[in-house]
Parts: sequence; structure tokens; C-alpha cells
Amino acid sequence: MKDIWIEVLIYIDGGLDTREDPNLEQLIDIITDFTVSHLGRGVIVEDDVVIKAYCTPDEMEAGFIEELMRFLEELNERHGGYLDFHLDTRPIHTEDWSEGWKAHFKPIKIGHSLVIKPTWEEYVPHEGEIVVEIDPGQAFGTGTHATTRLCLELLEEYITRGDGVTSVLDCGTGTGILGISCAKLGVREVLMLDIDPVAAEVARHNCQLNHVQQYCSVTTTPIWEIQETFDLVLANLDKGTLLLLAQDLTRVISRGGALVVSGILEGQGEAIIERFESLGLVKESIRKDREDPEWIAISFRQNDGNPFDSD
Amino acid sequence: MAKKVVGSIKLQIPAGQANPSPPVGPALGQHGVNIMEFCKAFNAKTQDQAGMIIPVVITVYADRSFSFILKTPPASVLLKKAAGVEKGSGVPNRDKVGKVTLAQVEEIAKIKMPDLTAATLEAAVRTIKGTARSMGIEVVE
Repeated sequence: MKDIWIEVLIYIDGGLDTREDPNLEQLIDIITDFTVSHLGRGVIVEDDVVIKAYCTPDEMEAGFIEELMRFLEELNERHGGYLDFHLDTRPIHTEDWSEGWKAHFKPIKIGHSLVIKPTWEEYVPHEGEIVVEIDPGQAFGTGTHATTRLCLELLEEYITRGDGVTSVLDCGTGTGILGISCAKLGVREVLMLDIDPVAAEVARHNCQLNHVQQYCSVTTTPIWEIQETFDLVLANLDKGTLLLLAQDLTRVISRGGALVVSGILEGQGEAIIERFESLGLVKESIRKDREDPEWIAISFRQNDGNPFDSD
Repeated sequence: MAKKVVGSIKLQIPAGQANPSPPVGPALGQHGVNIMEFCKAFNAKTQDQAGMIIPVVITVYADRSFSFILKTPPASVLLKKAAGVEKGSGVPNRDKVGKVTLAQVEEIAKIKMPDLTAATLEAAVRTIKGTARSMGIEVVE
């Protein structure tokens, strides 16, 4: 990706005691508010005296810097003119920051057989291990986050314990890690859905890397337009989105099928269970992550037929 | 054994809207933190505060894992909400955009007390009043 951004550095000076002066907190708040109001994105605060805001070249062209300078002059006037704001800008590229964490992403074994391996790492699998290659790009899902780990453990259990899972829907697929793992475990009909086209592209690329494109379809179609039903539905999202999509997530479960939801903090579990049980699902398990126990995944079963089925 | 801290990052970002673009991307990427993991965690913990800007302090450890603590929303955001305005004034000396009552300011000062350096509620109220003036929001009795 070759996106260019303009980093706007706002230096605040003027003899403020940087750690103690309430005026400084107030200034940072006000300048942040101005940049968020104008650009819709946040800021970095460094050493308590430098605010880093980010605009696109188009926003800069449209006069953001001039507006900011006028605002800072006004602010200085209000403070008796003793402040000294200094502005600096520099272009930065997405690749300047987006690759750094990759050095720390190593192959990781999850569940009984799955090994998640970044494309740039070498790994020789042991007997019985199934390697899933992931190139994360700008999408979520590397297997290092608790919620992904929990989903991977649960989907492996559902698929390998003889439940007869032949079809899977992975809602909010991100890198495609969950859907691809299902295909690698033997499921031959996997629909991977992400309304973010960037994520969908990453997921398609990862399907090819893992040679499962014949079993996996990637779509940006929203779930409310999906008509098929699936033996296993996976949704690693967040509480708000899960509640919003609860009816559709329930509707696309086949009779007797299962739903695994994650992206949920422990304190949010009750609301999720209540919502899905009100739609006729039966809770099967709540799983807490061993390394990061504030995150949970919950699985449900469609025992009595799908209330949204017309037949 | 406690993990070795290698960096600390302060951000102010809209609740529930963290994404890998700036400022989150450059702030975390340079420390080798998995950007998407932070976004997922931050959004999960702040999605009930839509419309607020949330200050967050992220601690980065030697193994590139991280933890973070959320602070109270900035006084400017709480003032705008109390005044029912979307933006502060670009020229606060001249153009006033709204009003808040002293009681509202005191309420905001109480919310902000844990994160302010102000030693007393009175001092916090003075700070919040100053913020209001700098945004073109009048404080009325």
C-alpha cells in the first residue's frame, strides 16, 4: 500500500511546567478537539508537549494547516500571548509503520492441530499438524489475539468431533484465518464475508496462499442478504455488532447447526447470551482465553429447528 | 517476573473507531505492536461511549505485547456535549458557540478529577472554565 499522509507536529512551548500545569492539559484537550472536529481522527500526544495530528494531502490542500494556524494564534491571544506554538509537517507512508510488528509475528500452534504461520516465516510441520499461512496486510486475524485463538479452538472441535460440519459461514472474516482453517480441516463449503473490501482482498489472497480457493468464497455481501444456511457460523466481531446482527446470524444457521461468537469481553457475555437465547438458540459453552482471560467466546446450538425457516 | 517495558504511547482517539490508519498505525507500528489487535481491544472497550474522544495510554513490553488504560474523555468533549454543540469556536474571543451552567462545569470537573493534576475540585472547576472560554463556550450561573 502506498498511502501518503501528512504528519502535522504541533509543539507547545511557553514556559509551561509540562508535567504539572493544568493549562497544558487544557491546551492539549482543546487542540485535540480542534483536530478531531476537523479531521475526524485522533492524535498522538508525545512528551506532553508535542501533538501529532494526521491529514491527507487533500485535507492539507483544502486549507487544514492554515485553519489550524489561525486557531493556534487565537488560542495564544486568549492566553495572553505567552505561548509559543510551532508547527512542522512531514509526509509519511503507510509502509513506514505497517510492517514493523511483523518481525514479532511467529508461527503459533492453536488447538490440537492448527499452526498459524506468517508467510515470511519458515516452519517445518510435525506429524498431524495443519499449517495455515497468513499474510495479514491491513486486516484483522493473525491468531495472536485471544478472540481468534478461541474461535480457532472451537471451530477445530466442532469440525473434528464428528458433528458432520459440511458448510461454514465466517462473518467478518478479516484475513480469512477462520474460514481458511475450516477448509484446511476438511470443510468443503466455506463462505467468508467481510463488508470491508480491503479485508476481502486480503482474505482472497490468503485463500490462494493456502490453496483452498476451490472450497472458499469471499464476499463483501452483507449478512442480511445471505440466503443460504450453514452447519457452523463463526462471528468474531464485537458486542455491538453481534447484537445488531444477532437475528441474521441466527437465521443463517442450519437446523441442528452451531454458532460461535467472539470479540466479547467477559463482562459483555451475559447480554450476548440473553440476546441469542431470546432468538431460540441454546448456549453450549463459554470459553475463556487462557492467556488473556478477559476475552471469551460463546457457542450456541440450534436445537429445535431454525425459527426463521419458512418450512 | 514483570515484563520489561520498552515504550509508552499516549493517544486521544474517538471511542469505538480505532483503525490501522493514523494516528493508531504510526503510533503502534513504530513500537512493533500488532495494530489490529489494539484496535479490536480498544473498540470493544469503548464502543458504548460513541461520540467521545478517549485518551488512552498504551504500555509496550519487550515481547511486543501491550496493555492499555483508558482515561476520562477530554473536558472539551464533555463541554461540547453539555452545551449541545458539535464544534468549539475557531475564534473563541469573538464568536461564542454555546453556554453551559456552573453546575454542569462542576459535574464535568468531578468526572475529570481522577485524570486532572488539579488538587481540589475548585481548582478543577477553574481549569474546566478555562477550557470552556478557550472553546467559545460561555459559563453562566
